Amino acid sequence: MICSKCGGYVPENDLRIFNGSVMCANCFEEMCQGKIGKSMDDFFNLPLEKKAGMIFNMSNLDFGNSALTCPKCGTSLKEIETEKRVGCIECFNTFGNAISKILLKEQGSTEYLGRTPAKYDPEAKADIKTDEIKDILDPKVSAAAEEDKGSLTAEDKIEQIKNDFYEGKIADLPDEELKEALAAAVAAEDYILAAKIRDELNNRKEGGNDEVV
Amino acid sequence: MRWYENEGIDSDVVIMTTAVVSRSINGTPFVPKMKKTDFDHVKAEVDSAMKGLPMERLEGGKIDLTKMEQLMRDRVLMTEGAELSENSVIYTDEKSALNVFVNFSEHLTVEARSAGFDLDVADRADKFASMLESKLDISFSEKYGFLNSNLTDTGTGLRIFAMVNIPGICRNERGVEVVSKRCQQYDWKLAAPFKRAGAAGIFFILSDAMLGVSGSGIKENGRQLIREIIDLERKCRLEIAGGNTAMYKDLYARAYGTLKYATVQQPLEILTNLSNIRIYKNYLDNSQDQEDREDLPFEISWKTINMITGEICRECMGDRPRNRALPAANKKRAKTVKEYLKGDD
Repeated sequence: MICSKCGGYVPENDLRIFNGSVMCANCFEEMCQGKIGKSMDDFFNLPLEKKAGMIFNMSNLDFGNSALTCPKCGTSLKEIETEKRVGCIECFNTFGNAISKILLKEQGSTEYLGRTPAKYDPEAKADIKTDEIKDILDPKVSAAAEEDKGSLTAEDKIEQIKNDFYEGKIADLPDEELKEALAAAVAAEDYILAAKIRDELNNRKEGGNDEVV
Repeated sequence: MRWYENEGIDSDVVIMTTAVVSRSINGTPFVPKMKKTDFDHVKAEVDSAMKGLPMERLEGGKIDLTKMEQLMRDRVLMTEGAELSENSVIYTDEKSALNVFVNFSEHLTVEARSAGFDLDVADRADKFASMLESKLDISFSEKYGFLNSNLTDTGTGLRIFAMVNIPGICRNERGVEVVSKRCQQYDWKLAAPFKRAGAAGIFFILSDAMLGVSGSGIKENGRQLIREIIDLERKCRLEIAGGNTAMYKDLYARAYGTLKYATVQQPLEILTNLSNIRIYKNYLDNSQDQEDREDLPFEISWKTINMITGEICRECMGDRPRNRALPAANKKRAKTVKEYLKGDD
C-alpha cells in the first residue's frame, strides 16, 4: 500500500486508515498531533454507525493505482486485474509490475523459455517449406502405424481390407495396395472379398469395364 | 474423411487431442479494444499470409446453415453462430484437422486436432504458426514471449488438451483427486468440459503454464502425464470388470441395447452407458476366455464409441442445459446414436 500523505510504502501490517485514506504510522501520528489535516478527535466524534461503516468498508478503498490507464488503449489496471486481459502491447509497458505479478500468480513463472518468432530466426525461417505446410494440412499415417502396416500377416491384411470396405475407407487406398490385397484374398480363397476388390479396381479404370482378374 | 473418423492411438481412453497456438499481430490493439478498421486490417494481413494454401475461408456471419452444421459436427464450432461475429474468419482444411481462427479471442488462433492420443498435433499447430510468423509481424517480447490479450495465453502461446474418458479411475475412491494432483505436478490441469461431465468420467487434461517451460517441455510433460493416466485407467478397468465379470458383462450388453434401441436418450445416460461399454470392452480385449464373449452377438469399435462420445460432449459444451432436456432433442440424439451404431453393424 502507498501512504496517501507522504507517498511512501506502507507494509500491510502497519497501515492506518483515517477517513478512507491509507497512511503510514508516522503520518498518522503527525496527523493526530495536529500537524497534518484534522485531529483524530473528528473521527472519535463521528456517530457510531459512520465509524463502523468506515471500518467495514476498508476493502472497497481506492488506493490510487486503479486510476492508472494505458495511454494507448485506455485499459485500466483494475480491468486487467479483474479480467486478466490487456488491451494492447503498450499495456505491458504501462503495467509491467502488475502484469508480472499476475503472470507469476497465474502461471507460476515469468521466465520465457520458448522459441523466437520465425521471422527473427533465420534457421526456423529456412526450415519452413510450402510442401511441409501442405503435409501438415494432410497428415500422413504416423510412422508407427506405417511400421505396423508393413508387418501385417496375410490374414491381418484381409481382415483390414474387410474393415476398410465396411468403413468406406477403400476409396482412400492406392491401387498397389488393393492389388496386393486382391492377391492375398485369392490366396486365402476369400472369393467374395476378392470380387469386391476387383470391382473397386475396375471402377477406378476409365469406363470401369476392364477385367483385372 | 474427417479427422474424427480415424480410430487413433490409445482411443480406449483418449477421445481426442487438440493443440492451440495463439498469436497477435504487432501494432494493432488486442481483440477487446479493436475497432472495425482494426478487425479489417487483421483480416487483410492474415488473408495475404494464407494465400495459396489449400484451406477453405469462411467469413463469420456469412456461413450458411449447412456449413454451420458441418462445422459443428467437425467440432470446429461448439455452438451455432453464437461465437461468430461478422469480423471473424475461419480457415479450415479438408478434414477440419487444422483450423485457423481470426479475430476470435486473439487475433490468430491455430488449432490442430487428432483422434485418440496424438501429441504430434502440437508440432503441426506450431509449424503452421511458424509459417504465419514468417509472413506476419507478430507481437513478441524477449521477456514474456508471444504477447496476447489473455495473460494466461502469454508466453509460448501453446496449449494442449486431451479429452479423456476415465470411468475406471472415477469409480475408485479418491481416484479423480489423485489424477488431479498428478496433473498439478506436471503444471497441467484436470478440468470437466461441462457441468456433470465428471459424473460420466469425461475430463480435459490440459497444459496450464506457458511461461517457465518451452513448447517441447509442455509436449514432453503431456506425454508422460497422459501415458500414466492411460495405464492407470486400463488397470482400473481390468480390475473393476475382472472383479465382477458377470455384472459388467450384463452392464455392457444392457448399455449397448439401450444405445441401440432406446428412442429417447439423455446426454448423461448415453455417456454413462458408453463408460460401461468401455470398462467391459477393455476387459474383453485382454481376455482369452471364450465364456466372456458368450451371448454377446454384437461388436462395437473404439472409433464408434469415441465418435458418439465426442458428439454428445460437443452438444453438452455448446448447448444450454434447458435445450438439451427438450423431448425433441432427446429423440434426435437417440436417432444420431443409432446412426453411428449402424456403421459397426
